[in-house]
Amino acid sequence: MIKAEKVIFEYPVQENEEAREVLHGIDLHVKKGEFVALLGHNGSGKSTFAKLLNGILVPTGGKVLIDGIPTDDEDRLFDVRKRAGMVFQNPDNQIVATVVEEDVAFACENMGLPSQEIRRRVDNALEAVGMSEFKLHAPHMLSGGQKQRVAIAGVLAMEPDVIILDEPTAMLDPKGRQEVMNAITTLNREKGMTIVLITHHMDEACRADRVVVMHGGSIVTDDVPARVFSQVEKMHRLSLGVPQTVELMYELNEGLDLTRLSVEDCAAEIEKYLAKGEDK
Amino acid sequence: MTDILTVEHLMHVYGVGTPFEKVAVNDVSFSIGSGEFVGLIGHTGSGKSTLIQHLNGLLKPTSGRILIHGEDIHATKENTRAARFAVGLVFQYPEHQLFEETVRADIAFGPKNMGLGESEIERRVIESAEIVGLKKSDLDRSPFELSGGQKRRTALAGVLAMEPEVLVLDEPMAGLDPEGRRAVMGYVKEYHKKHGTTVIFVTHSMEDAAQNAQRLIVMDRGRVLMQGTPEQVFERADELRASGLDTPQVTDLFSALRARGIDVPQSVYTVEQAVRCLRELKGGKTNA
Repeated sequence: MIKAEKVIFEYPVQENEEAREVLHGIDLHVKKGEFVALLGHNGSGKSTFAKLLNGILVPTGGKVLIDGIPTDDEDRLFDVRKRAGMVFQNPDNQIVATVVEEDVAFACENMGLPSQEIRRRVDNALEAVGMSEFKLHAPHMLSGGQKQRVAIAGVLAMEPDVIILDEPTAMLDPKGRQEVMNAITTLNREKGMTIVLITHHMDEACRADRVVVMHGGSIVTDDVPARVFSQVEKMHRLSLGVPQTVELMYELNEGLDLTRLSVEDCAAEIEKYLAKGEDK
Repeated sequence: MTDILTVEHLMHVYGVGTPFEKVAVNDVSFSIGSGEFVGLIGHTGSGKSTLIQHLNGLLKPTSGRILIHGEDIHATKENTRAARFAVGLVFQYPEHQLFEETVRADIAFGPKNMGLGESEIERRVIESAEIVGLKKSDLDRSPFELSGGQKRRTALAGVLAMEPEVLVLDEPMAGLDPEGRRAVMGYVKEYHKKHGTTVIFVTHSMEDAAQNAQRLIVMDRGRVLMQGTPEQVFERADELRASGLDTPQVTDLFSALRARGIDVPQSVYTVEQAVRCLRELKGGKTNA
């Protein structure tokens, strides 16, 4: 679905300034239906990389292909954007209309779809993110989590093949984060939507099939969450955290299975550890 | 410890007499001791932002009083003005409020309005820039050339430069990455230590609150749901979850262990505590 091959990116510079390469040859393939989380601290190049995925930026070296279409082919940019939808951090910057359903319909209208088709898509999209009952509400009266779900619905209505979300929960409270993460997970699990989620939250990354860690403009780790997060020392070196469950088992230093990330699995692991003492 | 700030039966109602009338803060009372480091927690809409805007007189209570050193801040005009300087408020996304041509001028804006002398202003600008980790060479740059994190720190320095007795921060770490979060909290803590300033920080992250505050005040639907030390508050983890707050993952883990019939306390909220507690439990069992 997404193919990035030896992608290099330099931001354009003014005269006398030295060019600054922010991505140094990224290779990444994302398969259809995959849920990939992209981690990395500020300045690691992850947001730049995200913008390359639907042609907001085009690589200065290498290629990005969405469903086989190169993003730097200007004639086909529209096809790329239709396939790869993007959701940003701040919900307030993405909402354009005064009624929820009109906002969701915005992209479809731009695509010149017949109105019956728009109706169908908007209803489906709102349904998919659990916002149907708000379709006639004014977006500014919604909570952050609700607004962000409207933004996701707007992208969904284009019926893209992949949705790229750049820290969609960074500005939300815990409840809003939960709502948005549930919506994303459901889209992936039930509708088979390909997801690329950029996040700072380790617990969100744990919900992905695959975690890609970026550092200094390169990919340094690419594996399933359990194996990525069990490398506690490496993650700390990259100034990233690990879930507290892993941190705890690591600190205990009793040979517990660090790939048991979830609260339930970790509790089971600790129960085993405590029981072992009783046998002695 | 003497109380520096007291909130007495504070009520705030938005849109009184309109169909949109909404009680945002409902009979809230608490006191903050001088030099305390307090976390104010609540989910969106719990009234915490409305509450803090009362603390330096930006909003007037519908009823109830705000006292600084025992004096009602709305009793006289002088009191209100004094409150503005005594309580420094750092809003959410404070970097949106930068406006001067240079970082130096932006940080100096508050102290200038306080009518301080040139040399004192300069001292404060340098000192607060240093506390938030801005380089001297950054001072003459335009704040709009800075990175997001640097902008946030510039805005924070601007409030620190006023050397308020009480520093109130609304979600100071929102939107920053883990490293940025640690850095900003570190600056605030260092300032707190150095100046003995009273700090109130608003957050919806229980983890940040637990790790940093000496005392927590939890708001829910305009009221104070609970207040106490982090241990006392996390003891009631179930209630926190019910009010839409996220408890730290270790707290959840300890709830899960209790559900499995393992005798661990509910009040654990950091990894260190959890490690200590499990070691003790294990040690006790092995010895027995």
